[in-house]
Amino acid sequence: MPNHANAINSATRQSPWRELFAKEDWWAVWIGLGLVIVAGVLFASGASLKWIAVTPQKWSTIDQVAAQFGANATRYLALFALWLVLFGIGVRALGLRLADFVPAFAVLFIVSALIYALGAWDQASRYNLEPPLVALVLGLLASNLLRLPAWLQSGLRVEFYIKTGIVLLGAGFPFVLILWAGPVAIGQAAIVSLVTFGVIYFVGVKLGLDRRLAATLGVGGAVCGVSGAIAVAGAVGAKKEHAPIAITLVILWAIVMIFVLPLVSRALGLPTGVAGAWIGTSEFADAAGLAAAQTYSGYAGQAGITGTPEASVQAFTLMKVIGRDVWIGVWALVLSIIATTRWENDGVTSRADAGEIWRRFPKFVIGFLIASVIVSLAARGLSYDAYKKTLTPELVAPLQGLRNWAFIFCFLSIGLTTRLRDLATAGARPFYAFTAGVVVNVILGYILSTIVFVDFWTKLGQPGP
Amino acid sequence: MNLWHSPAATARTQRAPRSCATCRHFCADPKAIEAAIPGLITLGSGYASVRSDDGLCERHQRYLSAASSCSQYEAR
Repeated sequence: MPNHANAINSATRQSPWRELFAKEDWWAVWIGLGLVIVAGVLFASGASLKWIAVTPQKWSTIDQVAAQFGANATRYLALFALWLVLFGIGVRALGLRLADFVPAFAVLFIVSALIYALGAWDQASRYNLEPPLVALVLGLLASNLLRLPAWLQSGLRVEFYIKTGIVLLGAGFPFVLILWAGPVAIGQAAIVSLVTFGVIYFVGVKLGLDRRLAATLGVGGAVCGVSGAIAVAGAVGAKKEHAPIAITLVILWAIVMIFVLPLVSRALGLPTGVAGAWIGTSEFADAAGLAAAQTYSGYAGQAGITGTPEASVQAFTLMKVIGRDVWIGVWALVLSIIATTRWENDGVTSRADAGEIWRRFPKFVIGFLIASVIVSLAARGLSYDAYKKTLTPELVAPLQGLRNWAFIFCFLSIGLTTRLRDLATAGARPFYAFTAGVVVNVILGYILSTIVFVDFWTKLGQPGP
Repeated sequence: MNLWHSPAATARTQRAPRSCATCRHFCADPKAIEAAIPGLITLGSGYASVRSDDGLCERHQRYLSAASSCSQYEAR
């Protein structure tokens, strides 16, 4: 009985601050916003973060790139130390072993630096050597053909890196742009999410799938991939095997779409903003979608592709993060109510409450919005010239450089953690149901992005005045 | 004001202490969840906010909210 009482006490008296240090989302906010604030303070005092935010520059011969690394060795070491300390603190707070994380992150950083440098080769785009694709393919080959050491796993925190990168992305995202484009993104995303969920769910049920599995698959395909699947699996009390089935399908289709969406968009010559909106509508996970959107930003200016490079990432973020991700709590609440009141419960009682919306809210979005507000306030009153000549190179560009590093860590981690042999077997019926949703999602996303809202997304990618 | 657990949820947990959160058949440890669900770490995470405090019930072989309950509850 005393044990029982202690257990209850620990569960009911958890500090309200616990989540601030126990969830990856919040650590992404602390790290991302911390960097934005430091960059802002340095900028205000006439300095900049750009020394440490080193990135490989364009090169055409091996000698040039070697000379670059040689000349900037101290900066790269400082950058490595910065990331190691920041992510190390977060990882330690989450309860992971620092002794494993340090060597794993060192490997991740070195390989990421090489991939980043390869992407800066002046012939890279000719051979489709976009850093996100190279990182993904290299990671996939390594994880599926080699036996990687177990300790390396500790450094492969896909979500931690992508969430930190998204918070930093907010620094290059004018807040007025979010206010201007947010409603359209939410509207387009709502149409696609509802239709995609409906298709997967009803096809799944028609094929005889358990309703909880159909719902888990549906939200995985319609809202936010693996995160959506795991959130709804818990909300509806899915069977143990349901989430792994949905995750397998999300991963397989998400990886296919990382390659297909940018390449098809390029073949169609879509403007960067339009392609970004399509990717944001039709990719299944933030990390996978950003890999595709970042790849497409590298195509800007090639073969008649109009729009700024940033526009594909911005449109993607508006569509996926603002349009889809933030609604996961609402989906979980609604499906939880339906599961509790309409579906058989097998002796397990669940109770849904509105707090579900906040508990499952992807908190890193808050960091993204605050970063946007901070930099927008810093830019207030500046002329366009001053913005471009001072604020961009001294404040925004270094944060974009750091963001790109976080993204590459993420893209490489996706490949290195995708071990096809370890994924759960999905089975034919879940595959058919999910694939039906994929087909509808891609077609509907294309129509909305390239026809219905084409002017809007094209305008998003236009350079400033 | 408690922003992390709504007053309704807190009251609910206090009224129903025999919830999964304190049951010995229930595991919500992120590391264990990541190990038990193949592919979760590839495009997701056991430490994500969206996962809330959900966990695996070995008794029912289900992935449940920590606020769920059943008649086979056993305190830790």
